Amino acid sequence: MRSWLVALRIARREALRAKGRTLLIVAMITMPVLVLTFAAAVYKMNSLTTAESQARRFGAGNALVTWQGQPDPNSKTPTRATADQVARALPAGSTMAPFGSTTVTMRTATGIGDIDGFFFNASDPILTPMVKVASGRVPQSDAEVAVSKSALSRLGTKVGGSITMPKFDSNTGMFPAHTYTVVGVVQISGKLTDQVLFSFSQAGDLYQQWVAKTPRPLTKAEVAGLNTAGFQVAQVGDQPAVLSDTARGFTLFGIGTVVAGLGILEVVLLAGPAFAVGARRRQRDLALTAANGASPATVRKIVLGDGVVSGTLAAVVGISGGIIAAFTTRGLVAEYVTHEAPGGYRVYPLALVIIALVAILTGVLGATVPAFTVARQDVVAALAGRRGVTRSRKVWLVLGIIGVALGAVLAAAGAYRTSSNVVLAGLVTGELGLVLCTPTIVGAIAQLGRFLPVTARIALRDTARRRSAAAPAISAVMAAVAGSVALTVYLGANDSRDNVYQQSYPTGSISVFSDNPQDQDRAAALLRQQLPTATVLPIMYPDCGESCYVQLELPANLRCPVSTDGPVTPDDVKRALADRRCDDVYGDHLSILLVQKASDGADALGLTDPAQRQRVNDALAGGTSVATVARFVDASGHVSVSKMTFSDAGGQQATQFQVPAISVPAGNLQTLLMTPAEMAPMGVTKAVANGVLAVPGTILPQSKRDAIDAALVDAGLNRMSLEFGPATDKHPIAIILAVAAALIALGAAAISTGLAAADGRSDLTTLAAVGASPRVRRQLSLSQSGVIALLGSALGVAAGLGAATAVLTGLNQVFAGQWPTPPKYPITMPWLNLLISLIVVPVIAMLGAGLLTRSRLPSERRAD
Amino acid sequence: MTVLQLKAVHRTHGTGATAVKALAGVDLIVNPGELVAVMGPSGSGKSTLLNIAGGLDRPSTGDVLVEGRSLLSLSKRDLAALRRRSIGYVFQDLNLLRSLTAVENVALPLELDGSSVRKARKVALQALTEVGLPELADRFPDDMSGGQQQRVAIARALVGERRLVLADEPTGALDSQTGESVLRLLRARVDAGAAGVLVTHEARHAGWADRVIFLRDGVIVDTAGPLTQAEDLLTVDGAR
Repeated sequence: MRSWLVALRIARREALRAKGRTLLIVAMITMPVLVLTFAAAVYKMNSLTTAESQARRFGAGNALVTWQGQPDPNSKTPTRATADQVARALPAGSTMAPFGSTTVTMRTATGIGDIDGFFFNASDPILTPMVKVASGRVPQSDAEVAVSKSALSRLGTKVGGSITMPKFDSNTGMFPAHTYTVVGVVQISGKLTDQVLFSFSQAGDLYQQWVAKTPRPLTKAEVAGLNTAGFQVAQVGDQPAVLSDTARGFTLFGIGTVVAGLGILEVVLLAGPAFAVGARRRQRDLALTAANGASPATVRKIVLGDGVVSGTLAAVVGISGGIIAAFTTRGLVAEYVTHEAPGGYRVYPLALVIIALVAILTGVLGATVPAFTVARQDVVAALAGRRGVTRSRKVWLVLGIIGVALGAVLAAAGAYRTSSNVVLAGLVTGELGLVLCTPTIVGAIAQLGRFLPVTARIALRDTARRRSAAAPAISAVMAAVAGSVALTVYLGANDSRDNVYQQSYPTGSISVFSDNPQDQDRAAALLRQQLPTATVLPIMYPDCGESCYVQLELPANLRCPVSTDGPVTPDDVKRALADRRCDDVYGDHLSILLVQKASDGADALGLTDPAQRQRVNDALAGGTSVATVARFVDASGHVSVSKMTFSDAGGQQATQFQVPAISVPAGNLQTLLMTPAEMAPMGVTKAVANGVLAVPGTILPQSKRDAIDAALVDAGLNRMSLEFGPATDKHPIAIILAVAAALIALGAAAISTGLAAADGRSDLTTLAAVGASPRVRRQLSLSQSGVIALLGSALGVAAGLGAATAVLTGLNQVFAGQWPTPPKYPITMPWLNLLISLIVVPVIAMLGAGLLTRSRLPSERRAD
Repeated sequence: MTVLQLKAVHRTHGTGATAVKALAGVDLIVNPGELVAVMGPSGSGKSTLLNIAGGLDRPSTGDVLVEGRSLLSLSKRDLAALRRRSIGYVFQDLNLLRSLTAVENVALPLELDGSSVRKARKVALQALTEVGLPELADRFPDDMSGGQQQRVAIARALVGERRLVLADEPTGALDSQTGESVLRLLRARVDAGAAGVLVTHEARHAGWADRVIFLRDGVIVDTAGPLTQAEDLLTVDGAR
């Protein structure tokens, strides 16, 4: 214990002496501490207490009663409940207030949009606690509304202004055109979304709910009685439906634990170089200590004491900062993240204690390797000022290889067994294994130095010489990049699999449906006016009569011989797996889209490539159809079109026609494109249009869509539909991880380069003396930074791709012996992520180092 | 032509009350084939003189000429080129870049000057042979003794067509025998036509020089001719 006190005293004094380095380490540990504290405080503030939750859900009441009764089968409108019915079902002495909410369509600042509408009397004492008035007042008449703060800009209005509902066809039972005066800005149930509060009478027939205030909680029997009467009941104490904590097969807790663990690993790896340099700078002092009787254990404690001091400082600063940040930004978090008002100001004491301990542990872990390294030093050599080269101990390499292999096996096995925790354990084990291998890898790569120009050679070899400091930085970059790449590949594969997306119209296209030819013409004219550069086409299908339809069928010889209509035997599965025609049993039919003119064909498919466009238009002009799915076209260049005719007697007749066709891919579009002339041989002479299609080529922004909708509605036409296409790889977590990985890479490169620069001053002096030009200093910094970033990124990319491949291969193996086989997880390269990791980040790191390095070489030698 | 000339060189570090005069009006001429030793107590300005002579530092006033060219008129880039081609430096310690092998250290000024790796290596090997260490070409400094490192440093200082060699206590960290061998190499180069300036504390090492100058408080207080014996120094200035 005494030696620990001595060690801590020395560490504290050393921290004050080397303020710059201490500040760097404390800053590195403080960042995750601050973030974790912030997250804990935000979580606590947003975890509403029972009282807070009750006020938001029930106001001053304690139950929400909703009419769920069965509609009268003889009437088109559902039966309605009355307030008396509800009152009779509640205990005596209960009071209640009617309540309603639904989505309403309003005129917005840019056109027309949907918004959350609430219908209740906010002056009712039961409901008043649900509403917070920011300015103005609540509506008190049918012509008044109050809106939320965000709705003000969405609707393009202000207090004292007005909002309007568009006029709809009264047959639909929707609101007539109505203008309301905005009398206040409110927040309903703590939500910060776009909201409009109407008086209850405006709800009309839409909704039937009551907030009830009962003298005591409803008993089970009373609830059952209400259920029997057709009412659903929610009351205080009922937990609202909890979102499943499973995200794409991985538990959120598992992911959170791994992310937190990897975050701490990153800090340990980033702080390691700073501790290593500090220990090396004090090598002689520590050798003196050893020469004066300190055991290796004591020497270790002195260096570990650095970690304790830094970790403690970081805990204090980080926790204070995190709490302050959480309190001061809670409004912003509510507005932009949770979209819900938080509860009271509070922190999470237990979490803070754990975070503080983690901070100290992180500091100690960061100092561990340098502590053991310096404790192993030759005292005599250190006293003589000789450092020697740190050779990597083979045991770490062996352990590292075992870790990588074990990690890969665990990840694949976990994927095969769909056990997310095993997968995560495998990924973490593999990553730790790579971290242990990094020093050896760095040493091996340094052998390539002789092929490089002198400054790059010095940088690479210097990195290998200082691997106790450089390897952790490289590992930090590697770990971050590996995690980012692996997750991006996995999520991309998941998206591709989930979105075996079939669309009928090109991505970005706008369709307005109507059976009325005049409405179709008006819609077409309107769309041409709104989108002058877009192609506008009628949406046409073959019409062979009421008891007939025409569709594209997969040729018989291309169909899977095993049917899924009945039970599938093991022999069927065997046959199907052996037959390539059975690889995809979904989609043996496609719809047919007609174009009036051959020259409209390419636009109807949304093609942009000039060669493909010409091919399509030429084919249609020559009487050849165009199929967007290749397997429907047989070897002779024909597709099989089936005409199904149903008789009144209940029979059906299918007639097959072989139609010349070519195959042209058009994204996820799945259709056969024909001209009406090609239908004639099938006895189909009519084409029916049920709408118009505009193909602008890109997905229009929300404001433009609102404007088109407004124009359509004002013209008495149906609103538009937009084809968004398949979901693209826009997962925020993947983007966040990629950005975090890039920042970590830049940070690690900067830290390591800065430390190398501080450490390599004597080398710079020598370079100056032998005539290196001033820019060599900059080149050296640039090269050192580039080595760290590039090595780390390259290793990380390899590790990430390897990890993702292991997991996806395991997942694909799960269904290997099954049929019908679900779509496989494709392993695709995350090119953008790779570009950022391998090129953009190293270049930025190098440029940053170059820009921030002084070009002047030190001109004075060190004093004797 | 004179290889090195210092004309009324003053060098002051800092300003105001904390200003320190490192050199105060130093005049020095070193000709080809001449080795000049600079001696003096710590803080007398020896290293500053060497730094100014090599273009690593600029005088506050005065001028420095190397082979007739005033260093004051040269840009940093030109000064660096001068050190690559004309001036060789040897320090007491930490002479070599630890990330480079012996031959790479010797070849460093040539490579920095644009020479190809292969050509530079060839010339560097020759220089290493001259100092008797061709077998250490591919060794790193950490795998060499102090004397071997210093000889490699000498080889680097002498590689190419260097006309001026500046050595700042090159034998300070070496045993006497190794130190003598280092000085022998230096002397041989000077005898071959280069000019040399040797800063030393050791009188017997000053004996290798053609001339000894004594610095005190930045001023040359005395000059002695070739010293045949170390004891000669005792008769130069009775005040010492």
